[in-house]
Amino acid sequence: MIGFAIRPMRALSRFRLLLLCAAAVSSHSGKARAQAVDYGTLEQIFGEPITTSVTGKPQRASDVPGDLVIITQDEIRRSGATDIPGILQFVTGIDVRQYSFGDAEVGIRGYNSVPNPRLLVLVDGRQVYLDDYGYVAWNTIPVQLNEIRQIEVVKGPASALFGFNATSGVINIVTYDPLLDNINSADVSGGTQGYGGGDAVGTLHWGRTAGVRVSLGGWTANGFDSRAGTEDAVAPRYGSFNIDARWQVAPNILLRASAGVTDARAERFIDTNDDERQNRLNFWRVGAAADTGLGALDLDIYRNQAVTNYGFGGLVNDTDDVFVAKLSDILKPGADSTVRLGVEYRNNGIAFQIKSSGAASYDTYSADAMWDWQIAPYLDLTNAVRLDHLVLHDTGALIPSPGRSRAIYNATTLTEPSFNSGLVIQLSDDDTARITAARGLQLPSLFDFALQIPFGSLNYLGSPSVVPTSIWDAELAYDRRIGALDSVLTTALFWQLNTDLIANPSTGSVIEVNGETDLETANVGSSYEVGVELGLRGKSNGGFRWNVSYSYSTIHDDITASVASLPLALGNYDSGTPLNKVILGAGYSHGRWEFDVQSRYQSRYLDSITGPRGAQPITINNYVTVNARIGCRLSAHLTIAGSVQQLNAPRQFETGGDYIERRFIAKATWVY
Amino acid sequence: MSRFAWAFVRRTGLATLLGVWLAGAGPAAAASLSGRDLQIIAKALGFLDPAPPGGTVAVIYEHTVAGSKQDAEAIALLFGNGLASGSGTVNGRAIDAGALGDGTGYIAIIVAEGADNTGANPAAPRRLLSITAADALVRSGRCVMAVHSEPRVEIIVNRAAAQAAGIGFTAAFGMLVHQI
Repeated sequence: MIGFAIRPMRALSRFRLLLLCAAAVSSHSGKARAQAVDYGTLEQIFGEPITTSVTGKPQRASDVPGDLVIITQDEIRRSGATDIPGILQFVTGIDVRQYSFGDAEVGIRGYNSVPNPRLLVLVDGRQVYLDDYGYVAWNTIPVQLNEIRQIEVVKGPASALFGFNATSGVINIVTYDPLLDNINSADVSGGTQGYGGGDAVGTLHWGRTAGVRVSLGGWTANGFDSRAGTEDAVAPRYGSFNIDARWQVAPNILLRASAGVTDARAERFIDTNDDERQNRLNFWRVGAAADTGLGALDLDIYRNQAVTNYGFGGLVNDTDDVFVAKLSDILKPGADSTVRLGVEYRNNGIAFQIKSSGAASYDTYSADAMWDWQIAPYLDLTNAVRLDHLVLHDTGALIPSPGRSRAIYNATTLTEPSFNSGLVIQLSDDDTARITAARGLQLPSLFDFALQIPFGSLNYLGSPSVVPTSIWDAELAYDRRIGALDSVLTTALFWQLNTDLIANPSTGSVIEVNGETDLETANVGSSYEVGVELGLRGKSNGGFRWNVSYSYSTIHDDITASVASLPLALGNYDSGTPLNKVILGAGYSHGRWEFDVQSRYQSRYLDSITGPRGAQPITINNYVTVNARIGCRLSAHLTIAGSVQQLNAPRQFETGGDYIERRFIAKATWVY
Repeated sequence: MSRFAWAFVRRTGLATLLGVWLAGAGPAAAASLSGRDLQIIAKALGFLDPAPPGGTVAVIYEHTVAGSKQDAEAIALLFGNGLASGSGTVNGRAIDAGALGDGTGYIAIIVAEGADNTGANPAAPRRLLSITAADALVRSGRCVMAVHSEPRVEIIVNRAAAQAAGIGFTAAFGMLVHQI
């Protein structure tokens, strides 16, 4: 219990604070009650979604000191999408590039690439970002759409809370609570491109003290045609089984445990231009939450293992193991202050198939603190800082190269601070302004650090001397609730500076001459971006809903000459980001019927295509995507829906990857 | 109605006349708390630490104050057949403040208009959560919680008053309300 048992302590010394906290524990721990954030009930109370993804503490969506978009389960259902990128593509400021059936790269506010290392994606706070190559395999997300409560999109760096790689933003997929929510559903779907899938979600409760949710789902398809117009040789597929449990062992202690396995295959991995990328992932996770006079303590421990076949003749296959243990405490030392303290240990290791005699890994030790100060009822200031200390290790054989010895690897350490600051001003009941500033960090991937592939006369090499990319971000935002239209206007003006950009070996970085030609990871320059986002969304009592948004961003790169000379160097961030994006949508609910349509226009940009001559730039022209869905609730239990993706064109290029084809999907959902 | 106006009504003896008039005025007067307010209050009770397994909320009034009883009865009426709260259901019952006794049988107290004239938190000695629509009562420590659902949901909690009454909330809820 944070409760009201502790007197305001702003002026007290740290020592006295500890003494008082200890006293509070002894006097109140017996009556405290631990509780996971009851998103459902709290949303009903406050009339808006609740989130912990911005500061770590529970907050109303309209109060957070950051740029946050929350996609609710209703919106997920009405999207008609079969995967998460299909939902995200209609969020202002998000750039979704679908390279093949069921797989995509997702970026926030530009700088999208293949792979995209700048976006941290979490499921209930557990990272599903893959550290080996530094990307998110969106076709492997271990969650069924029916078990998602909400998808939280935080735009801008959030490293002070989440650490490395919360660079351009964070997407936290929040599932229903197995103890507090009773979700039981099953659905089957089928469609064009040979698509067929189904999933089931079931929840069991033992009284009010224990609950387990189990989900199982999967799909297969023939996929899209390649750029040559032929069907890809590999059929994409996905299967995932997950279990999530909560146990209220005592009034003030809640235990959590979850585990899952996922197997997925993408028909194409554009970065290596191979016909397959296969991921087999598993995880386990345990945790505990306790409400005490010391605050809301939370312990979270998990291990992710990803076994990935990247094609490329098997040279890049690897096993990536991540172990994370973190402890945090949120306490409210005064009526106007909330403090969050955290420590984290992380071990991240990779075993390359080509490097069977050794592995590369790092240990990261982190500490973070957040202080939310309600200066006045209309003024809130949040400051968060974090320090990460990384120690690099490497064992096994190394391809000889200057600056790459075992001693250098094992002597490499990085110590990097990050911060987030936000001032929220409630100008009136309807008007809110936000001013935020941040420094985020993009950690070199394990490939960036330690990859070594001898490829004929060409060596692809990681480097221990590469440093994280720093992202400096500032934003001014203003939101206004327009009661007459039952709508909300959102605006944001942002600026971002990226220094020490990382070029990984496979995209071409620094050419060295060492008897042979080496492509080696390097920090290659800087880039800055300026952008604006405008959005208006509303609804009527008659069942109509609508949304319109526009975003514009322009990027200017300053890349070192040796890299810029390559055909596809990072110097293409400016032309590789569409300047203009427009999203229009509308929907109508009447009785048991739902009708929804969403459309997106984006201007041209420069992507890449990997061929026999290596990576080549390719211009993707302006394009429009229109998706639509009709749903009908036949009974309290059964809903059927039909949706079409890319209604406006039978097929078109949206990236340097496969054709994106029109899809028709029929779906039946049984809720019990 | 302002404090000055209430004082005038009481001193001039108009309170009784006004009460009689209101009681016989057909439709009940608008309650100081709305139906939406009460839904919020009912759900908020589920975040008390420890949370009551449902029960009855006393809606107290001051029988000497005109309109107070009517307000309490209108609020109690809004509970209908009960409102969902945590693991149970809560109901409301209008009761004269003087008849509340030690509060046994109630899980919380709603202070109707005019029932705040004692100058003290009526819930403190009974170790019950006291709730009102009037921010001023919370700011002065005479009530623990104020609730508004319009134009934006706001819940205000007086930490000192809560501590005096032995009231605590779960951590997440405590961070979402506006504490003073």
